[in-house]
Amino acid sequence: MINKIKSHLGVKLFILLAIVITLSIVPLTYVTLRAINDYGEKVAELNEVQIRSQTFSYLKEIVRERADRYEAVFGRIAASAGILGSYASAIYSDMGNHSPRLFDSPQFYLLPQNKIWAGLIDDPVVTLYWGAAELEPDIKDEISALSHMTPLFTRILTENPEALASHSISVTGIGQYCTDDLKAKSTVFNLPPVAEFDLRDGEPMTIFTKSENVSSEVRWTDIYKDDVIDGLMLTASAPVYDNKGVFRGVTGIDVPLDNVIGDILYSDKSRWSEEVILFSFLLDRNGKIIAIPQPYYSFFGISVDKSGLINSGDRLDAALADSEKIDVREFARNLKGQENNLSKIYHENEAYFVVTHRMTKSSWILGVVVRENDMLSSIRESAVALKSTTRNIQIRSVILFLLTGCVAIVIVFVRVRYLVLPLRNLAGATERVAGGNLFVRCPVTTSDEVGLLADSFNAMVGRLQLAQNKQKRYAEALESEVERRNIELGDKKGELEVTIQLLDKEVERRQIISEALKNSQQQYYDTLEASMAGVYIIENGFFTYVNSSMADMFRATREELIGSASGDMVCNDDRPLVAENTRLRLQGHNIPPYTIQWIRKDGTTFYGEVWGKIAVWQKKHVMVGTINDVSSIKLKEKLLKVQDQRLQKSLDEKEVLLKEIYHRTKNNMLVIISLLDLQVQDIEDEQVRTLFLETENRIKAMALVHEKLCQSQNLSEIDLGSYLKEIAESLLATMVVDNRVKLLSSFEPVAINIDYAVPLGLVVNEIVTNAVKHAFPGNHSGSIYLNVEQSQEGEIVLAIGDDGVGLPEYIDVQNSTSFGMRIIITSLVKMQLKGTLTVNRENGTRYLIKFPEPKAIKRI
Amino acid sequence: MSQDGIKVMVVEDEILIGLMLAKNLRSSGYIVSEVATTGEEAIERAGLEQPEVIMMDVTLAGDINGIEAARQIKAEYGIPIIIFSGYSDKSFYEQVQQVEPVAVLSKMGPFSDITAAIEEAVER
Repeated sequence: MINKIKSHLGVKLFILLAIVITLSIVPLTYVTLRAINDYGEKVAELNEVQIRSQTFSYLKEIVRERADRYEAVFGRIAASAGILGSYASAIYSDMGNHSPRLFDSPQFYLLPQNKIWAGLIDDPVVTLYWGAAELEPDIKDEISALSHMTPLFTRILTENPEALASHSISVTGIGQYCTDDLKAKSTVFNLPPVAEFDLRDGEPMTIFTKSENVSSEVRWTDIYKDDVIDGLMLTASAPVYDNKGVFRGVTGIDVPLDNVIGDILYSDKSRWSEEVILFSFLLDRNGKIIAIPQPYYSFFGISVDKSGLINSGDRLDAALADSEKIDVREFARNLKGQENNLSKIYHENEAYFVVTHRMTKSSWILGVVVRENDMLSSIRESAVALKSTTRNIQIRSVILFLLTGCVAIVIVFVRVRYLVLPLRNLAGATERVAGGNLFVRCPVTTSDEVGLLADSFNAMVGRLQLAQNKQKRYAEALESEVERRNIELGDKKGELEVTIQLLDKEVERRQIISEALKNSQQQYYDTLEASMAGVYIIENGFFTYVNSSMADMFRATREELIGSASGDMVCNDDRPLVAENTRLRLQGHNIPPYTIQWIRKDGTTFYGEVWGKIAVWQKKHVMVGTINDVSSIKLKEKLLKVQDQRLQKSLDEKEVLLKEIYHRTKNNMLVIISLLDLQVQDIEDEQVRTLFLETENRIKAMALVHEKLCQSQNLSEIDLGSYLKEIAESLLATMVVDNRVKLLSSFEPVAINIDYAVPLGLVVNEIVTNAVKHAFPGNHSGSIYLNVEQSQEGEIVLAIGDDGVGLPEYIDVQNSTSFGMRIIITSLVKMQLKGTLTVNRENGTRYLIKFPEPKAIKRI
Repeated sequence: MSQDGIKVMVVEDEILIGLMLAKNLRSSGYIVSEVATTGEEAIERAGLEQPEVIMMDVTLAGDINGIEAARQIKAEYGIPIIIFSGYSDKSFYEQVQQVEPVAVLSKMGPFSDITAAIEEAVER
């Protein structure tokens, strides 16, 4: 079966789609059922809340309506009692007018059984007197006056069908009693003797006599046991005051509780339209019980002994506040001041709702009690109905989904079958073609991809058929071609043998080359070994080759060095430098050799100049380089440095000495000048004085050289221009008093040593002295100029002149006999400076002195 | 130009140079007493003679040099000082600035520089 499924595409497709449909429908069904269920629950919940709310509101309305009804009845009775009272008051207030009615004494007789005076039983109103043993005249008058009330008594009973009797009781002991109930009427005659019970002590009278309240409004008595009937009674009593305000008695209407609130007392559901109400009860304004059905006293936790209720003085004196049950007492407290109340009370493990309403006029409270379960039964019924509806919807949904699923599966089955059938035909045709039958064709039944496939298959088989035919023809042609090629191969074989011989020779040649290469490699290694420098190859930070020199340098064997980390061989201080240089080399920078400290295997160090280059060695990037031990050079460098320092120190000392010598020389010359200057003051001959002064100036020119040397950087050369300018300025300052001759100077910087500076200083001294003395006669003003420059060939050109009167024609400068001129030209310019001097006499006098660039003269 | 009445003291250990300077000053009208050759002598005589200006050489024959002598004279008597020296390098200038001289003159300089400096000192 499984094999069948595996081999049929259609079956697989069908199963797959069926699973997909099932997987789609199942969660959808689940979600739908779940939603319906949740909806049902939510609706039931809302329904319960609504029903509860409606029920309570309904109960409140019922209680209110019934309370209104009771209040109407009690109000009517109270009003009637009030009318009775008012009438009695009117009688007492006007006794004179009412009493004349003749008292009919024979109709009055003393009852033997209880010694009470009584009227006839047939009278509509029975009159009793028990105030005294005899009928006194004033009593008779009073009885006679009160007899006016008879029509009212009867009328009252007609108007108030619920009333049993209407009556009056006077403080004097006269009682009137009107009733339609014969039994009650007869009972009146059988009242107990006065000694046992006086009607004036009854509840209808005592509510006024024992009360401090003197209001004349009608009051309801507490519930009491009536003397005349079985059962409990309630009396609406009105007080009777005469016109002097004296209390004369009461009038009243007796209402048996059964007649008004029998429905309450006996839970008479037939009088109630609301089946849900369990029972109802009536309380007075203080929460005292007016009416509760006998069986439900225990519900409120109250026990009443009804056997104690015999006479009308015996009252039912019970209140909910005295209940044994806490929740009832709490309920009683809550009632105070509230118009409506809804409370929950538990009785015998069952919950009850109590709904009350306080009456408007009497403030009495009417309540109804409902069992929670009874009230909830309608909710439950509604919930059950809702659940059943929900269930029905769920079942229908499931059926609908199942039907949908089945229809979908049938449709899928038909479609798959329709889709797969042409494929099966195609598969069968393919099998037959594979078996070699190229005449097979597949029917094209559809125009979709499968139809296209079948069409393509047919075309393919057609082409295969053609190809087969072509192949057959080709095979035949191939056979003949192979035959022809075999013949050709026979020819080629001879050629191949010749080629093999040539190849053998080539192999031999290559072997010779390989041998030579090996020898060359050996020579190369030998060369490396012969090198004085340490040669290394580093790969990934480790030495892979070192030559013997390198091993010797590190005082280790080659085997010890190869494989060790190159970085470990470098002193700590130099490692950052090596790392930086290696990084730069890897980036392609060319780093020149540099010296660092290396650590030998034995821990000692040496200075080695290292050089390296990135190269490809056996197809790997490596660092190839050399190390030269330069420790001895370093040592020499150190020694040299020490020597240098010594020399520098010595030089510095010499410079100080030289400066001092220059200074002292200058000072000595100054002393000579001073000597001459001091001496000159004793000389009177002007020529000699001039001679002395000129000599002073000449010495000054020489002294100035020493001062300039003192100030110069190298202590051997001074700037020619500034030196000569200073001489000229000094001469002008000394010899020209009023600035009539000015100096114009311009010069290029030309450094010159003492050997040239002194003669040039003397030359300038002579020429300027001459100019000042002769060029500007008669206080003429003018200029002396001074130029210093150096030609490109190095020749120094000094031009000095003036714009004065000019040198007289008769003076031959070149052959002058004057001491000054002789010094200038012969001694200094020609002999010492090896220079030339020319004189130009245009526009004053101009001396041009040229001499070659000074060379240092070796003194020692 | 004649400067009658201005009292100038010359302090110079090379007595001949001092004499020449004194002579030239006198011939220009200044009153110049005998040349002092040591710092100690200069301080003592400055107090006695109260010159208006002192021409002070730096290198002196006694225990204290011209800068120290000038400092003491300036502190004690407030007489303006003109430094008159053969030295002229940078460290020398820095040293002499301590005494706030009116001028620092070279012995090789023109005489007019000297008279100008004395005038400036007197005007102060």
